[in-house]
Amino acid sequence: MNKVKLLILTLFIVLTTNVNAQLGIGLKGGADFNSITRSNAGRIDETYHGKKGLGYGLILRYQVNDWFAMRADVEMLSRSHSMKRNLNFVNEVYTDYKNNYLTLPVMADFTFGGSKLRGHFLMGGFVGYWLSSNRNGKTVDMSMDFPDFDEKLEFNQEHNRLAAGLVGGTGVSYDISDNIALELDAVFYYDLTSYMKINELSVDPRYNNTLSLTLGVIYKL
Amino acid sequence: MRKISIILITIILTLSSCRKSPDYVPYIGETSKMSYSNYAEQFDVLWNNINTGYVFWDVDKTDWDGMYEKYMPQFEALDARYESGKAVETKELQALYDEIMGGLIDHHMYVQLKNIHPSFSNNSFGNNTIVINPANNEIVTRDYYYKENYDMSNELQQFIKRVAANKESDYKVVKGDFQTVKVDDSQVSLCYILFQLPDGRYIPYLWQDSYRMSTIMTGLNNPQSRYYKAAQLIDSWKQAALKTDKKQLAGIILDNRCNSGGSSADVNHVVAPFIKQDLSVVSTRYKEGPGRLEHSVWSPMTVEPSTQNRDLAAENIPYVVLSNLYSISMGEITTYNVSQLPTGYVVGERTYGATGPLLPGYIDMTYGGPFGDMQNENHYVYTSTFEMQTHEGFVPEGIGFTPDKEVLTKTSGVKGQLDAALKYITEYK
Repeated sequence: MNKVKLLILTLFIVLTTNVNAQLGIGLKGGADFNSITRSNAGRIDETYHGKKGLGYGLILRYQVNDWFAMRADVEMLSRSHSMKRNLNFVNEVYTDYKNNYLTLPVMADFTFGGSKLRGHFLMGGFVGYWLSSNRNGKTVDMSMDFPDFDEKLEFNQEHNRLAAGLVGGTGVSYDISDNIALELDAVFYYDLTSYMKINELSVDPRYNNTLSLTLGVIYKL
Repeated sequence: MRKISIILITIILTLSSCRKSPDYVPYIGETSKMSYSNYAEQFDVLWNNINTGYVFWDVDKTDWDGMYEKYMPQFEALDARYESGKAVETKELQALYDEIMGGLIDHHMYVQLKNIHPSFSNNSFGNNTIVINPANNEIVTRDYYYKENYDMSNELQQFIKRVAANKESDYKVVKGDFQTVKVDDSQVSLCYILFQLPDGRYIPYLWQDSYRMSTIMTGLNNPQSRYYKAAQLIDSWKQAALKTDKKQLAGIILDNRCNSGGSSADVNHVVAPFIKQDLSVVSTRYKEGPGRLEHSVWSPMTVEPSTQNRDLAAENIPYVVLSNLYSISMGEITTYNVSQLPTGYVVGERTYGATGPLLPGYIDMTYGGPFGDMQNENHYVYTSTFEMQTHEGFVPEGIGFTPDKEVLTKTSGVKGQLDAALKYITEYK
């Protein structure tokens, strides 16, 4: 463990003692597109469809040198999806989940290109927390009627509200002045944690995959 | 830059394979996964189906994972014993399954399974079936428990017959009609009594030992139907309750004692005629996935007023329900529905606690409910399809509904309970 800490510290010192280190903070907003990865384990007829939502957040970028920066964002993502039943007699049943996730991606930012217009690749990891969820749709009742519903999801012990995974993406930035840059990012969140808890005796994991497209403004301090 | 990129890409590619691969998770009743050839596999099938399909895991405190860990080695040991040539007695399996499933709260539940390798004596004497009925284990612990349902029903039925024949009651009996009719494969007994108080007012009373009214009433206008007389009996009670002048009607009694339940549509006969507005006091939900807590949303069980109805609340006419330990399922749900009416009142005992409705044959829709087949699969599990809760968020499964006025069979007898109901109406202001 101490070796790992030493390695991180050394890497940090080497990278940060370079010239031209610069901190930038910014705001971003856009849309996110989510999909669910779930096997057929335990499923009868449900299908999952991705949904889009709004995403917004803060950008914190520490430019280490000409080609490398560290970036830590705070991003609100929707990460929503829809579940639909397909059996003949319940094929009217569906549920749209509208979620709210707070995510904290930490990424290495590799930049390239000219002086004003530059491209970049992002790679790193993220942690997140499932803040809330609303679900609406159609259910089936004992009378075989299909009433509508719209309610806040009450989390239970099977919901895994902590998320973590990998994040990567690409984008371009354009300096509109010495201190201000516009930034267009496409970032993909790949969860390594299931949003439903995994019972040791029956493993049925379900994963979120989210593409976030945002436009941001960064102010270089 | 190139080195760092390569390192990062390697780390990411390595981590991206960290998503867990799903095991096989059977959904309840998946027929292709119902077969087994030894005791451990049999337990595995039952455990998995109940694990994914049981609708009460949110309120049932049974440590189901713990059951698997504790008992799977014991079934494996039984398999080893059988393979070594020693028989496994049915009573041993019965004892194990009682410990595993005997404490589940589903009071509709009964589990039947066969000893798949019965000893010669077990097989010869037909003693190779294991039966688990969790409710039986629970009700004997209640301090007001008296005797088995069958005996209690007989006692109550004899009493009601005597009352209908005007041989028992302290109250004047103007009319008494007792009928028995076969509905599907069951005998249904019904009794209508019209009591008259000393002040001349009437109390229409109805007792039945199960809810089959919707089927019976199809014979109301057909003298050739085998349901005709029973339908006429029900209609006499209904018409007396609906059409007797307010000044002449002291109250109504619905006797749900020893009522084993039946069709949920029967609320249209005992609740719907006595309301003016929709009544939604209970709701149900079903399983919507294999997760233990993966339920649908709650859907209200709404009772809509009948076309022919009477607003008992507006007329301040009391509607009393009699309940006892053996008021089961619809015998409880109707009790609770009436208790929530402004002039509703329940006299008797806390009910049985089998309140989750069943919808056999719809496992694919509901991810729950009865599964298995004793003939082809060596097991059958009768279990609730729906979980029910009251509008106050109370899940009565395994508990039942408590009456407004407790009058115990043990201390007051079946007559004492009826007298308490009649007295309540007599003194009602």
